[in-house]
Amino acid sequence: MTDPEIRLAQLWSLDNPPARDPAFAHAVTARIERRRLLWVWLERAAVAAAALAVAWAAWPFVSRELLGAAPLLAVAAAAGLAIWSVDLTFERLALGGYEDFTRDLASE
Amino acid sequence: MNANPLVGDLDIGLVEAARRGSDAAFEKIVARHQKAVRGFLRRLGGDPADADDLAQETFVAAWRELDRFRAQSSLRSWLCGIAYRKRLGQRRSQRRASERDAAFAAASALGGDAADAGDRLDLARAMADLPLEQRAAVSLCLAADFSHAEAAVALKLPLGTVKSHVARGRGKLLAALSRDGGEHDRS
Repeated sequence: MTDPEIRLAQLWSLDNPPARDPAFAHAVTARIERRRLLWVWLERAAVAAAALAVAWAAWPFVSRELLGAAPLLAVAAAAGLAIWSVDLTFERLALGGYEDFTRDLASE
Repeated sequence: MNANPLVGDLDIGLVEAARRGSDAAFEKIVARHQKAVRGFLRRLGGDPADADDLAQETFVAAWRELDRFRAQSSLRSWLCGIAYRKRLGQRRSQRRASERDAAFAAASALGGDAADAGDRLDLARAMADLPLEQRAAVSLCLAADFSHAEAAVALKLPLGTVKSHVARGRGKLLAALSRDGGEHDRS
């Protein structure tokens, strides 16, 4: 190898990222989990939109019965919303990988 | 059994596990190949932080497209191929001048001793003067230990073109380094 070749190799080695970089790996994991969560939200939004469309189409035929059962339906809707919120919250905590992250840090 | 010697059995195992949904396997893939992908993107020019950001996006894309990996090449050349195409997409929205500014900023920010800083700046300038395809071939084959065949797969170029890019790029970089080295010595 000539001097410039050796110098070139030395200079390139200065640009090398570390062989092991947990912060980078965690950043990638966090991005992936955010995409996953986004997909979950999009899927649920699509289901909700479809349900809304069905309800809108069916409304003229079922309005009398539904209005009669309005108090019961309100309670059921509130309970459903609460369950969904709790589910999403725990899902988000799990997807965030906070426990994994702290465990990894402790083991290093 | 792995028929392709370019693809490590460990990588194949990790890819298969990741395809089955193992996050731990994908994290190992990231850990094993982050250095190659980040180093490649950094050498293509621009701000190292932007290069790392693009490297993260590369791994997210790889996670999404893992089913498309056919083990006809090494995993790292497949990943660098994704990185290169992302970089090409990003480049379309940038001007060459901003690339040179970023290369200057990167070389300045990296520190080190004065001789290193001067030579790194010269190298960054010389790399910025190479066409992107040539820069990519040089980055893979000279700066990293990719074979010409691996680089050809990653860059989706004919093998002969890669060899010619590497030879020409190497010549230009060595010439720039010798010339600028002489100037540094005189100053």
